[in-house]
Amino acid sequence: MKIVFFLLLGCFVCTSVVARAADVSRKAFALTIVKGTVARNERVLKVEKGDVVQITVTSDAPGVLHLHGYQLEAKLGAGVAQAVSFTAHATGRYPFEWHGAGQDTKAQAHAKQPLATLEVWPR
Amino acid sequence: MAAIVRSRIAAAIAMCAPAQAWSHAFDDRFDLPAPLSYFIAGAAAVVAVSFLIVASFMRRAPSPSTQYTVHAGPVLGFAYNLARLFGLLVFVITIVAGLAGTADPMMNIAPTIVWIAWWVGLSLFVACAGNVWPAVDPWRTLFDLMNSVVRRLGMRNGMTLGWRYPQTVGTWPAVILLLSIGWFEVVYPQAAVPHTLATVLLVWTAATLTGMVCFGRNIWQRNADVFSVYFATLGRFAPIAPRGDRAILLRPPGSGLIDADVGSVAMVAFIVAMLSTVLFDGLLGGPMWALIQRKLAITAPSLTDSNGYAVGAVGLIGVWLIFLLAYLISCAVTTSLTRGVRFKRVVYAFAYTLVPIAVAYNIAHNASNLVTQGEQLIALASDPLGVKWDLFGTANYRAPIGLIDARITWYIAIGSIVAGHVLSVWLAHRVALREFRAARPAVIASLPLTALMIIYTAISLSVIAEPMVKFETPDAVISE
Repeated sequence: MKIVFFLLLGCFVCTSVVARAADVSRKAFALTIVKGTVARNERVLKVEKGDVVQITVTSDAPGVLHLHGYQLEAKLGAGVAQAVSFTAHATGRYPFEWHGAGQDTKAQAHAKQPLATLEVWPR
Repeated sequence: MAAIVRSRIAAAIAMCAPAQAWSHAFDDRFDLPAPLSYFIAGAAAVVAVSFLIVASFMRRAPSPSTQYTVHAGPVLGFAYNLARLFGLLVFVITIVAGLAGTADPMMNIAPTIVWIAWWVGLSLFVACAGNVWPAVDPWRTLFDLMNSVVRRLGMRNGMTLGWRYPQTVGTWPAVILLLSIGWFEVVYPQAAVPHTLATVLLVWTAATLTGMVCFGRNIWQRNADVFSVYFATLGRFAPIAPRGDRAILLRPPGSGLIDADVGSVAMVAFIVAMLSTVLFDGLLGGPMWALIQRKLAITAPSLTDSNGYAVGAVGLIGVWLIFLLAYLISCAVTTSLTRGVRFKRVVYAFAYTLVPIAVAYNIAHNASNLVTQGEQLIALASDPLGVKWDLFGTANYRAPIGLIDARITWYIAIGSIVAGHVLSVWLAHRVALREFRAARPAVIASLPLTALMIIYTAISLSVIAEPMVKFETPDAVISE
């Protein structure tokens, strides 16, 4: 009985700990902000730990983009593309917040989701 | 129901981020949901192990659990007094910071002490080590201090009026208070506002000291003092327990839960509330720290009228009642399947065996957060009031994100849930053997409860993996 138990436990551990080669890669994304939101396919930025993340941000209005956790911030002018680049060193799910200049805060309150989410998965 | 409350929280977070506050507003919960493979592995292990335990009990009865007594001598008494001093000091700091410190919950030490260090940290410590609450309990210390002063002044009975505590009321005040704390913590957006927190603590101080004066400290703490009942219940799970004044007892985790039955319906309701409130927290997607985000919502007064209080209360009590009903039904099935043990006896005997599932979920849900957010205390200790002090030179310390890798978090979460389930099933079988004597009726008797435990654990697992389904696969990835 004990053997069966430990076999099961072993299977559980082994299937989860599958060592993978550490191949660091670059991941490029675009965030095109229109009226304080981005297109549906830009809302999740999925990378693996250690990846170099490059984000090209543009907005139709000036404002500030803020990535929680990583504490990154980009000030944007209207229509000017800006590149943000960093290494995804910590796993987790981090929200991007967009703070449009002069934008009514109440309007933001109704935007129930963050602008986008960065998901850093373990390798 | 949960979705409404959740969106309200999200709205609060979205609007309460004025430009200057960003540098501190990083206390969001960054946990990744556990992937499906972990969930399936965990669920499979739960079911397999449950049946293995049942099958092994078909053959033999377990031997009584081993215990060791360690004599600590006068060191224990010294540590006890030191702990009392420490508890009182932390209590005073919390109240002073709450009343006099900044209104920003992230820069004030009070919310982190109460919600992270005390409500999560101490709970897990008590469950995993031993119940130190009677030593650090500031209200107990305050009462004892006042009592000894009054005695010295010549009143022989001290502070106690010696009123009779009403038997019919029993432990119900603690049950109601535990559900209220759950509501305050998970639903009420101002739970992390330092001033609110300090006020609530002061109101409770007045109430609990009055109760101790009226009915006597021990009677009050056994029945109405929710914190004493809560930590005492967790302490039964712990591997270390005090034995007399000068020794401690070492025992297998959980074995303290089968020493006695709960003795009242209110205690059954209390244990189920311990399980349901922590799960409800996860169900809301409102982790411990999201509430500190919510406190930020004070800056958004429009939030106070957008309600959700009632919805949250209904959800909290609803989950509790469903869990309670499910437990009572499984006990009723047990009673009908077997002979010789009455329904009430079954209900009382098995209730404590649910505690490991509650502890396990608490660990799964809060362990990584406790480490990351608890670290903030390093900075807060230097500037407890948030007024730009730097007492120990650590005021600018910022806890690194990703200190615990997501994969480790998943292992801790799934591992503790499976371990808690195994312990619960194991304890239930031991109780069944005690109550039903022979192995065969004991196995039959514990089958309904085992099924119920599998359901509870399945809910725990799905809450850990739940937010996973919310996001679709992105097609914006361009690999170079």
